[in-house]
Amino acid sequence: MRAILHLMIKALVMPFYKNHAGLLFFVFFVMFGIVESTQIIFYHQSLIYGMLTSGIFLFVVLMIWLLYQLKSLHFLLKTSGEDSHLFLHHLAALPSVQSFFCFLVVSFLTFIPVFAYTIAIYIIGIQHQFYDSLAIIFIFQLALWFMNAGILNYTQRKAHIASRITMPTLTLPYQRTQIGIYSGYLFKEEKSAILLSKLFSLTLIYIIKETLEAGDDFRIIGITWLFALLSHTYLVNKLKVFEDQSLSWTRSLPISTTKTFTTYFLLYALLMVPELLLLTGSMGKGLSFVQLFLLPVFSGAFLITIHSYLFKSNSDPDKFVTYLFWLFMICFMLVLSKLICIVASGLLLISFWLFNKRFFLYEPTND
Amino acid sequence: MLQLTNIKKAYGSRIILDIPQLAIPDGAYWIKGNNGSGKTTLMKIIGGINPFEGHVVLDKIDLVKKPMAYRQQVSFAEAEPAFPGYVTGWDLIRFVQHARKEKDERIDALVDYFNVRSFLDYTIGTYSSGMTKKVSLLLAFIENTKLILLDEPLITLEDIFLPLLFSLMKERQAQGTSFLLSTHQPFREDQFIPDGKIVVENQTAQFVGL
Repeated sequence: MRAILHLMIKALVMPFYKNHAGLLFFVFFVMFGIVESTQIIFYHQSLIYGMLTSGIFLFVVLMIWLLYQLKSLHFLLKTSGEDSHLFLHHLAALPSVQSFFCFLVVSFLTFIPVFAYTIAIYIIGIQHQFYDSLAIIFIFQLALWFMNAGILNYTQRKAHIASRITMPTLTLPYQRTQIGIYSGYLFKEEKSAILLSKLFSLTLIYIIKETLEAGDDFRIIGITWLFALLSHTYLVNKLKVFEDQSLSWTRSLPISTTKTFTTYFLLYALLMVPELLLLTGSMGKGLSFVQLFLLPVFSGAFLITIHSYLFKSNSDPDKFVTYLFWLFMICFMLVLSKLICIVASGLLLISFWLFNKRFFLYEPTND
Repeated sequence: MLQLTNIKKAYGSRIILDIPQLAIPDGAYWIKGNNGSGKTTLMKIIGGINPFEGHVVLDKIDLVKKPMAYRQQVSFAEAEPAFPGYVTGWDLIRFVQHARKEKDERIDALVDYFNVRSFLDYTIGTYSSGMTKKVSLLLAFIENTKLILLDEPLITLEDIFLPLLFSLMKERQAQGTSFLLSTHQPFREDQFIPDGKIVVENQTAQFVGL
């Protein structure tokens, strides 16, 4: 039994966390990153207290857990149905109770991030004697684990019968636009790259944010932001390769270069939203409202300047590194000279000119 | 009328195409040539995908001078379509529909005609090469463009579908659409007879009769 469980954890649970690392990290960041470090405990105590005293709030939380569990079920069903996981059908040889137990363990293990937070809910709930709410939470979570385990067990054991259960997919119809296709690539195909870039840039900004005090200079944030942008250059390169390999056919469509440029600019500006959210806590500490607005413009302009450079036939990697170095140095000096407004608008103009000039002169390659 | 003037295409020192002059009247034409002769390159040039030297003019609209107006009039289906694997067939159709500003009713009719509705909700990554090919052809037919380029349209398609494709081509031809098809397979006379041939060889292209 232990060997079977070990195999199922490797085959189902570990890929689940690998695939959802970006999403889980983002949720973790939203829950713990935005709040001032000195306020975190008080913030979460208030949050849990509110959850246990307000019926509507508790209902919303339960619905979010249900969505999470459905997402997890969707992944587990999809993965266990793949050719590489056909060996899982051997579970049907076990007694139904045993295979159900295996799936129950898998279901619980994918729920651990939520369950970890639930422990804090139980502690606060018991302290304040909210036994009714705690009972609801306990029964609801147990039902979620049993639901997933039951469906997975049924699907595996009745694989020869056409499925009568159609799982709702959580994919939104956003992929029908240019920006949707690009962002879909980053968030679906480049999860690890996104995670690493964000891990670096958010950690960097968090450290700087914690050291800021009222009256500090914006240049500290500006230069940190520039380093955070550098950690995203890998994504720019990946996006360009993806465009060459899977979207070259769109060049025959009546989509203007201005529209494609705007799409990339918006994508790159939006990519930095988590960092921007993190910085909102620094308003008044070296960061004004205007500067907060300027940072995404600067981000979009900086990253699209790199993207525009890549529309060069036979581009030499050495020259690209040199280009990146000088671009960084120029931006660094201008930010240091309190000229971020000029560097953002300058980069925007240069990149637009480069993009327009090069886009249709560039021949996509499949290499 | 499609007019190509002083078309030059080279990769480094290797010249792929050098076409001083080529005029192709309205109609459906077969682009012929050996492997590596430059058929796909020629089609990608006309389709506005690959850069080139020279001028490509379709009904007085120059690709270089009026790129958007030209692309509005031309659609292209690749020989081996490469679409993002994580989007669904519907996503692709809606994306092209939006870019070409086409109506829903037309799309619905095409989806039924190509018999692809049953798998459009699934992601492209799960499609067979034949299913991907059908979606690629459907995308080329979304708008009533003046010219449709079909690169190797016959490969990977089931035999039963070919008469349907040719029938749709005839229907579109009657509405004023021209076709350029490249294929190594000869057409069956009871299915499709092209109006002429364009032979691509020795780095150039020549318009010849049947």
